[in-house]
Amino acid sequence: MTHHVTTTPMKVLIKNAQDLDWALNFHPRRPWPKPLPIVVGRNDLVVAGFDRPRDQVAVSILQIDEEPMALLNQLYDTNELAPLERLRFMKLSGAPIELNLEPWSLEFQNYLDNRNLGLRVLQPLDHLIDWKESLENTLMKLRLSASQCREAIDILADLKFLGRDRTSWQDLNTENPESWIRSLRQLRFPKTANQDQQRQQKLDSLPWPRGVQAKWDRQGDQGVLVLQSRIGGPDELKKALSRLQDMSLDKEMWEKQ
Amino acid sequence: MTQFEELFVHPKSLNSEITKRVIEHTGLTPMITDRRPYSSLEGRLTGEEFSKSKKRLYLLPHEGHFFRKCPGTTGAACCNYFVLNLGVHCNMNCSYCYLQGYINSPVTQIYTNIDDAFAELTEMIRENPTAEFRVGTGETIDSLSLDHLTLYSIELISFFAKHRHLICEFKTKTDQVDHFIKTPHSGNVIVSWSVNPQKIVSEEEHGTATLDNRLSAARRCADHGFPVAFHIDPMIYFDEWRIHYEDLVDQICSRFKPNEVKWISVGALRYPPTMKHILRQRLTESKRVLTSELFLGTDGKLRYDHDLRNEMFKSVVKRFSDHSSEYPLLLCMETGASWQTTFEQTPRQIQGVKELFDPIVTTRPAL
Ligand code: SF4
Repeated sequence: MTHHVTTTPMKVLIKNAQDLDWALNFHPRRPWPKPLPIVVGRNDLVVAGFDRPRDQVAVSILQIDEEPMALLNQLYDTNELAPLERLRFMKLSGAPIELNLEPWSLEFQNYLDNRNLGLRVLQPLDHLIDWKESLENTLMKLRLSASQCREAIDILADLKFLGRDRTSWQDLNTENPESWIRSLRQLRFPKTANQDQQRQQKLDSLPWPRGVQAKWDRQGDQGVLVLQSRIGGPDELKKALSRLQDMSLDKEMWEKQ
Repeated sequence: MTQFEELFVHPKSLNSEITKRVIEHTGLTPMITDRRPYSSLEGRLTGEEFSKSKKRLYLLPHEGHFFRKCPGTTGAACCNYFVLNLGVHCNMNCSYCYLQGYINSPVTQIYTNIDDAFAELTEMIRENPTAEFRVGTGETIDSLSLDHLTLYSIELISFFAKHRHLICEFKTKTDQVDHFIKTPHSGNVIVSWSVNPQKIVSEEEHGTATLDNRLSAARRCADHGFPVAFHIDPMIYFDEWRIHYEDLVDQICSRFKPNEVKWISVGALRYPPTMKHILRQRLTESKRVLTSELFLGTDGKLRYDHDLRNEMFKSVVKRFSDHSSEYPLLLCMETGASWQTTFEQTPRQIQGVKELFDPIVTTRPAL
């Protein structure tokens, strides 16, 4: 029986960082561990350690005599990369990618990747390039959650197709993400928002029993009445229920104005 | 209608009559392949690829079962129904077409082995001799838009003529009926039309027959004894929707008496949120389908607000009942709550509609 033992020649060297080829930098999100040398493949192409300073005259490198792309594939498992990071990685090999990353700053890409948003959710970005600056600034300033981010991108793309311009949403109150998303929804769904508002006004005008709060809430394709009350015991519950029963929540209340 | 620009034929379909007809009709030279053409594009097609897929035709035999139980929609009071897919894709181009979110094939496919479908149905009948199967052919392909190439309508009418207790439905947006209306039939093949006001036909249903032509074709079918049905679906909201839909109802009622119509189903625009991406990519002039105020329903599809839907349904129902209370109306892909609000009854409580929802005993599992 014969054994084939393949050993890849590798050396640790000191080199001038400027003599290395940094062309394969796909901007991985995680920095290469500090104690480890920069890794280069054939022709001194850097495959790990892209975050290191490039003006140093003497850096420690691990030179491996292998195709740089093969090395990159060994170092980075695409299944473990975040969605946009993976696209950047795939771009290196010239593979067609589903989203135009070019316009978006690395900081913004990482912001989205930190929320682990799937590519499907991010596809509307292709239609939002004209709004790049305000969009990046607003979204990053607001520190939206993943689901808020998803909704915002979708709504903004819809606003674009509705022919609204940037000013329509740029000046919305950005004090907190919740109220910003609420205002965005009002812009996107003005008719329904208006009707929901009218229903809330109607609710506000009704004589609810003390301690009962009535709210008109949009839950998907339906508006519903949400009643909230603090009940301290069975007697209070009885009272509250009977007072609610006495209220004439007539048909008119549910119908559109 | 889209003209085919490329023709692919599976070796097993080479000698079929359909292949001969397609070659004659299109003048295209077939490329013979047992592999799905453009298979590298399979998966999620871009808007551009989806449009191109309408211009490539692949004739092949269908492997596996032809019949599927209608999947309906979660929480919807859906009618009991089997779908028979004799192909996949459509040579028309409606802006809201659900195939955009469903098809991942880069080619239009026509199955050339309808005989296998008949064999399967015969077996189903043998297993459930008394079951009144209802079969629709217009789920993944318009029943008639490629029928001039397949002539399947004639074979289906002849098959169902021998099985009078079964029902077959052709569903179409074309007016192509003249090639089959003289075929002897048993009155159990229902020809149905998806209809919308002409404004919506012009702006959203590209490449389809005009409303007037659809209704005239339906009239010709009825005159030849075929039961006809209408799907006012998807109703699309726009500023003057009420006038236009009332006018549509008037047009139907002026040409068809209630007893000439098997059913009239009513449904409103709906599509899965994942379809938005391709809608954005394929957008033509009208942006209505994309930019309407739609919200996620409990079935995971985007729909108009529940109250707006009911208002639209009620206005259609009312207009029909102004003509006659005998028109058999039903709501398609709607929740029990919508039925209740529109008709004040659930489907199983309405005479004439009830039987459409009665379960069919079958040994075939719902897929
Ligand atoms: S006719 Fe039906 S299948 Fe064809 S494009 Fe229109 S909606 Fe889609």
